[in-house]
Amino acid sequence: MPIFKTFCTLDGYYVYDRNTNSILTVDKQDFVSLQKFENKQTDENINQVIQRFQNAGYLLPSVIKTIQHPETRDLCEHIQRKTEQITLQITQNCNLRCDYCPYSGGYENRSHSNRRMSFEMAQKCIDYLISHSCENDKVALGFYGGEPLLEIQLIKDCVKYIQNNYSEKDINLTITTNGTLLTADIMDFLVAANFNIMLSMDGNKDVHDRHRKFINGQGTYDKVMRNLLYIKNNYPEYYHKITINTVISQDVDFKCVNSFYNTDDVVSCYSPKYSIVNTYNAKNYVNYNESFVITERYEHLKALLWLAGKLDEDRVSKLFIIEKAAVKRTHDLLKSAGALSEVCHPGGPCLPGARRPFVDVNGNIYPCERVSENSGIMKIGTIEKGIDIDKAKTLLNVGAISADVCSNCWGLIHCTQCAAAADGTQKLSRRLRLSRCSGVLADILEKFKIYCFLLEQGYDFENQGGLAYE
Amino acid sequence: MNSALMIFPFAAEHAAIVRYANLSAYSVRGAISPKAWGLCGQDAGFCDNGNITGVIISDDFNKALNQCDTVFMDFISEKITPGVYFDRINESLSQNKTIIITQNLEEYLGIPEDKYLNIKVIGQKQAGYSNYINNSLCVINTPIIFVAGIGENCNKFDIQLALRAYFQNKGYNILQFGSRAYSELFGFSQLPGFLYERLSFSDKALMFNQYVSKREKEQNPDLIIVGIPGGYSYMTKKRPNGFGEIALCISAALDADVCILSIYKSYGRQSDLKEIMAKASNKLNCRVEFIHEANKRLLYDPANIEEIGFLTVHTQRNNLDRRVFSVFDNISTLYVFDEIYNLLAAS
Repeated sequence: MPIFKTFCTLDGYYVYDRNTNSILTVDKQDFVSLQKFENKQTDENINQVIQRFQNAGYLLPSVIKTIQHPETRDLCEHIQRKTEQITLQITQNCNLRCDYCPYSGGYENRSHSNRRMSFEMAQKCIDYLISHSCENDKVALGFYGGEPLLEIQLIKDCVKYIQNNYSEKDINLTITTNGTLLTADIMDFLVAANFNIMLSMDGNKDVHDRHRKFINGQGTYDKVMRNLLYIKNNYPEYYHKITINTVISQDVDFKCVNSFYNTDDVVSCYSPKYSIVNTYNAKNYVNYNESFVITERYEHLKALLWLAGKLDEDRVSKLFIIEKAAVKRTHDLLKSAGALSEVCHPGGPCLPGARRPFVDVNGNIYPCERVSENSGIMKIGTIEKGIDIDKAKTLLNVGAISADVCSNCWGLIHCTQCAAAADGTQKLSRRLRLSRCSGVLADILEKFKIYCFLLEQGYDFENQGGLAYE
Repeated sequence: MNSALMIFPFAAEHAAIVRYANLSAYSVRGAISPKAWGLCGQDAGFCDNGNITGVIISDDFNKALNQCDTVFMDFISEKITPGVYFDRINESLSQNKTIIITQNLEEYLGIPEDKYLNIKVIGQKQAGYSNYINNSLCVINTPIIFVAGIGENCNKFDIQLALRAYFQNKGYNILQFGSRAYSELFGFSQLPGFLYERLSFSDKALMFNQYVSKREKEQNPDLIIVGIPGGYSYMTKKRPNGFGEIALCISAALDADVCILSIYKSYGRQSDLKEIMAKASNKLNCRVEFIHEANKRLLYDPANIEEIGFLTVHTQRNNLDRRVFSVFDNISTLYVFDEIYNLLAAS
């Protein structure tokens, strides 16, 4: 049976053909017939319509025989030769207690503690990164916590170790911080070592202080803003290397946050991006109200109109400028993934152990920093013994637990679910994975509609912006 | 007795020098690589997933210097500064070691002329040929083998050396042109520099034809092996492969009797292979009958489709197809080379 998805925009009718990973323009009559077929309704023309598409090489029966990730057989080589990044949990301590933090009790995860990584362990991690990346010219080393700046001396020792031992390799240093400890001395050091900084800032004082608090309950807004102002004034060549991450929690007014980034003198010069509260491993259901959805959709629409050349950039929320990269990704995936083969796997998983392994204070390795450290299946190795390839392969092939469903799903290639979405702590959970499918499919459909809308408007995907007729 | 050779800086592409050292006047005693390249402590064979060579990669330059007679230096990356190279050259000179550098490194360093006395430069410069006699192609009577590839990084030089070893063992007198600057370490020259210059296609083709003809008359070989650098055709926007210009020039200049095409490892279908062979045969103006499966896979980033990376993988071949081989697998290599030998003998 052919596997496809019909959809329409205001100006056109389309069908996405999974076998060829192509979006086809169709006329209304065909669209109606195909839509009926999807909905298991009878249509007298359907056989004729499908036959016509099949004669052109589309809407052919599914070719999938096995759900297996194509990188499975070479995962070991990826890990041994092309590890791209390592993120070090240099401390489990934090000077803040943010409500939505994965380590503050609301999630199935570890909680804050005084455990810290020793310099010897950090050295081993750096050595591991180097010895597992001989085929990468560039790698990245991330410092993560807790709040990593609580261990600034350890970070300095690591940087010195790299400079003394590994100067012939491009190592991109990154740090994820809450921004409260960015003193002049620390900034001088981070700038000299050319760190990329990911800093958390949730919005104006009212919004930010609602969740981002010191241990004593006091809000951190004033402190972070002072630091950002200092950086802006004193490191004019550098502040573009700071990305602000804004977590939009359920109880804040998105409009306020949006307005803050567009109007505040201090933060408007930085590059912000936003994320919603993590839903993986959350103990309580995470739900956003209608007001959030309306604002988010409105700002999103403005960003699309900007891409379509119908709105000036200065009218677009800084939080949504990133949409330009998102539409390019959709374009690239439609272009690059090509036709399906008999053995394939849903999109979503990264290469566990090779893409961005996360090492905790004790040297345990996880696929990334976003997974639960309490999960047995997510612990895929140790710095001393290396990665357990079989465990990594299991996570890479998360689609195997839902092979029957995935084999017949139109969204297979564009799926975004990795193993973290199916973390049943002791084994991968089919129930958890399938429970997220409807949301993922809705997102994919949205991406396709945006893609087609922009095509209709003449958007030039190849040149990452601008319009084809310009 | 062979001269003891040290390679600095040792990178993956130099594994062939270690593996085929028996074809040269050298035995490799040191493979020195910066720790940052992640190879120290590994056998040189780790670089290409080939057999163990017994040469362990190290960062101890001075120790290796004491154990060698000749230091071979190559340009790999600007991450090794000219200052570091000069320090190493001076240390080597102070111990009266013979120094061989590639022309690429010479260009990078801009070595003062007073140092040339003790430094041998190998590579394109030595193989220059700036004129051709007339506008017609000379007839080359010696059988010719092309070693071509779909792009860079697909073991073409390993194949050239393996072919050399095989036919030398059969007693052949070989005229060979290599795709790498350090071909001279193995007693044959790199392709002439004019192929890389801004000359017209026909000038290059005529010059190369007559250059090979001249060398053929001088050497009277039984076999000519030509390693074609880079890819035979356009690959992607960011890797246009020079649009396969050098491959086209060479294939216009010479008629190959046998062509080996090296392709990247893939897990594709047999029908894809046939398509590749047909396309390459057309481009290279000869019948591509033999396929080498490289130990490199092309990696595409779906999020950035023009970015291409490579991954070294294993290429042990289980199915004995007489047309397809991996130079890292002796059995399949021998099968294919025997086929080539028989083919040439029959003609």
